[in-house]
Amino acid sequence: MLFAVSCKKKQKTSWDTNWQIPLVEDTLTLEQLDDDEGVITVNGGVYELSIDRNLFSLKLSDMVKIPDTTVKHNYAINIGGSGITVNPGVSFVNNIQEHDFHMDPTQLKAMWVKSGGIHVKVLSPIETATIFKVELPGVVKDGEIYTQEFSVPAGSNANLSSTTDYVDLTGYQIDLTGQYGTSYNKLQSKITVKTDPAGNTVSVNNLDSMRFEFTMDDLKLDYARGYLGTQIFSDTIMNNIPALSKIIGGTIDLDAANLNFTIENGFKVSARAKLISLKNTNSMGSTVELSHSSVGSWININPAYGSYDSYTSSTTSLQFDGMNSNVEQLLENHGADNEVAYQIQVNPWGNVSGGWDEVYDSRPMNVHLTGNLPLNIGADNLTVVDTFSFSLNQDYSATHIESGELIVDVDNAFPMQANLMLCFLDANGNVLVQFTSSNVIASSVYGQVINGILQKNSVVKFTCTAAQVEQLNSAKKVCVKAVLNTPDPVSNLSDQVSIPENAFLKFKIRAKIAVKHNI
Amino acid sequence: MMKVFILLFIAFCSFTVSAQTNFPENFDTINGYGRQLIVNGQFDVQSTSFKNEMLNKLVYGGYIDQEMKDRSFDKHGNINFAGIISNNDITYFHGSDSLFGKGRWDWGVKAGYYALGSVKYGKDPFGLVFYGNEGYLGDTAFFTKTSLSFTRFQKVGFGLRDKVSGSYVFLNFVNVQDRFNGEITKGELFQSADASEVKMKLLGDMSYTSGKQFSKGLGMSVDAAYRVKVPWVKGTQTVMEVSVSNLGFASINSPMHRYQADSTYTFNGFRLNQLFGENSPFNRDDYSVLDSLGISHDSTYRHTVFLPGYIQAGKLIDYRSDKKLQSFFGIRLFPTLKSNSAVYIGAAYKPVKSVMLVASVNYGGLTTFRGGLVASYIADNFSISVGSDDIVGMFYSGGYGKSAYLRTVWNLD
Repeated sequence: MLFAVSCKKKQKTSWDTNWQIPLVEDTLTLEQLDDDEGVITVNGGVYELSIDRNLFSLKLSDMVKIPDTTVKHNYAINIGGSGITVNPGVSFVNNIQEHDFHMDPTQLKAMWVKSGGIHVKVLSPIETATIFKVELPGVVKDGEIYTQEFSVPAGSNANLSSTTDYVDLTGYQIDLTGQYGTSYNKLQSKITVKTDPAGNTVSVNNLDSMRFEFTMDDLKLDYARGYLGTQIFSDTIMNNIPALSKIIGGTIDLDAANLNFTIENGFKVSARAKLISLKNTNSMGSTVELSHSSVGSWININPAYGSYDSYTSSTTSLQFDGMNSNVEQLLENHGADNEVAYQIQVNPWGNVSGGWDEVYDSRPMNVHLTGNLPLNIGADNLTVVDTFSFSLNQDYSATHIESGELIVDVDNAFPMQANLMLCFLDANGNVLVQFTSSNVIASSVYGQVINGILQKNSVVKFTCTAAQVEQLNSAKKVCVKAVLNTPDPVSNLSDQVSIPENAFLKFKIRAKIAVKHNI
Repeated sequence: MMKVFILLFIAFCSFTVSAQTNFPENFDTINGYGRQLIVNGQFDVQSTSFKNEMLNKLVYGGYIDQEMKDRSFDKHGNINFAGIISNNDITYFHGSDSLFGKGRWDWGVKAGYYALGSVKYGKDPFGLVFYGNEGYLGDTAFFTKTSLSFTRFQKVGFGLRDKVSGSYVFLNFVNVQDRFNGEITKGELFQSADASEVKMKLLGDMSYTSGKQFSKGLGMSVDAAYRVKVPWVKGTQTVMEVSVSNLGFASINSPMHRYQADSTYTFNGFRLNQLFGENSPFNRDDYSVLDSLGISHDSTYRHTVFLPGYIQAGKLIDYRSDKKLQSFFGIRLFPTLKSNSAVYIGAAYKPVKSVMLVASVNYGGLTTFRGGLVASYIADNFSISVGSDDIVGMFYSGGYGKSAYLRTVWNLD
């Protein structure tokens, strides 16, 4: 308590140390590109970017929608008079009834149920228990007509007894042509009522009626046949490619790019399609719209053909290349915001199939975008910027980094060079401090062949003084800026270059820091 | 009134003395066993390899420059010690009235404040801490068998003293204020020449109390001394003593954080997908740097620790002796502190009856050789001793520690 208490420091102990630590090590290759952006293939020893994306699909569920309709029917008891005494076990049979589904403009003759069913409710005035047998003559599964019995307790005209049940129609094929096979959108039913064999003798008359209700519940189809009506589907698809939004300047020069729109029609339905517009807008606000003779015009789409086992979809293509369109300018605009507007019309000429349109759920109408972009690229001061959150809250009265150097050691097998810059920004986006690399990450064209590929090593340094480190305390974001060029090794001017197979960018980033310790 | 004033003055000096050193209780005196008030103040910074110019900066603050580090670094060997020992207590013996009114035993009470810590380490930990890793690029830094501990505690005790021999025994109740303990059983850090790869092997553990509460653990300790007269040269007798101080344990009753490592870790930089994107571990709430290094963390309760006590055996001197010259020697062990055993030998000279000058040499403990010097003023009912166990270190920046010692004995009968 005596001496020890007096051991109070008047100032902190401080000293300096020097550290070198690895921060990042990685190798980037084109094979690592996200599949969503495209597939990298090799053609003739150089890379190509192959795009194959399904832009949209039109499915059976888009074409045919079964409403959750509730149908109510009263069945008069089919007996010869009134006030008749009925013994236990007596049956009354009702004629086949037809129920309409209103699905304009669709006129379905047949459908296969993928999922869903109907809720059935039976109400009885008979003063003894009855057995209610429901038959749906057009509803068949594995060759068997749908039949189900319901037990209904005793009721009265004043107080109808009831029972409910759910009928799962999954896997059933439904004939909607009615009793005579010439109609459409009609579901048939047949009801038989039998008094309980163990019940009492009751008195009924032919004015008594059984009530039968059913409600379609979320029916999904595997197949539909009939006339699907004239329908138009249109949409505008907006798509943002974040990677392209990071390009803020410079130009790209692409070579021999082409794009294909392919419409694969799995419907046995005539149709036509129109590409209203295709355009993109880059981060500098520049918009390029595809120009081609087919843009804005209807293109006829043939129906699919063949039986179920030999079913063949029809294919309709639109090809855009440098000869017939401005597709290269469109791609060279490196637009991050892409927009495609289209229309598809089915049965544009009415019921030309005679009510024999067929649509399978497993065979939609797809619109694909495909393309091949040989990675023969020219970059002229192409400027790419990305921004990340940053925080360095150093307490300068405690141990802290005094100054430092970031050392980037790069083996570059891409025929592209980069000047790097780091900008540290405050919360309002103002530049606090900016670091420019000591030299350029050189293009592989200036290097030598190692392990079968041309590559060049560069060591790039960013030096940060003590005063600059202090400024980093206020930084909230760090912005990495790369200016890319594809120089010709002789003229040093930007030129189109092919990216060789197995090209890579291998880099190690390490920090060399001076630390001030205050304890 | 004068006694009270002097007592307060001594206490004041003890709190404010800027030397902040102390003299280990290498020797004691036999100065009568009546009613007494004894105040001890002791502060000792020891090192085998840290020069004072650097220790001063570490203890009192200031900037440690490159030359200072170089001079201490050159003195470091494969095994080095450094530490701090602060023993401060006040003891009252009732003396004149025997316990229960009869016999040779009287009773006493004491209170004390202690802070003891030590570190045992190799040369490379010093290099890493004070230079950084640049000097180890392309090389391996070893910190195997590095250990450190620190305990700050207080005690109050009640004891009995043999009024004839001066032997005593105290049973103390201890409050632990802070406790830190760490040991690296196996530790290596390899760095490639271009600093692109770091490999670390680490097997060790560290535990410590945290928080601002005054009491983090309670325990018991024993202070005892057994004094016996033995035949000495030329037919004389002298007093030998075997003593223990703060020999005991405590149970830590607040959470004690414990980190344990048994891993080999290679790091050559993060991959980009570790730094960015949805799969980045840094974006996960449950990400832990320690987990990725294979270091586990938990909190333990009811952790029992040994107090940093010591055992000492040696020959004493007598302040009241008429002899002009007396010798003393002994050995001290810290069984629960990372420390070597210490041996000491010295001589006490009385030029006049009321003054005694004591010189000593000791070796071991947390340092190597040290020379001590103490001056005592001895009045009829009062004595005061002021000195240092490391007189070179007190005044020379090239020394390896600081030591200050203050002891007063008040005979109240």
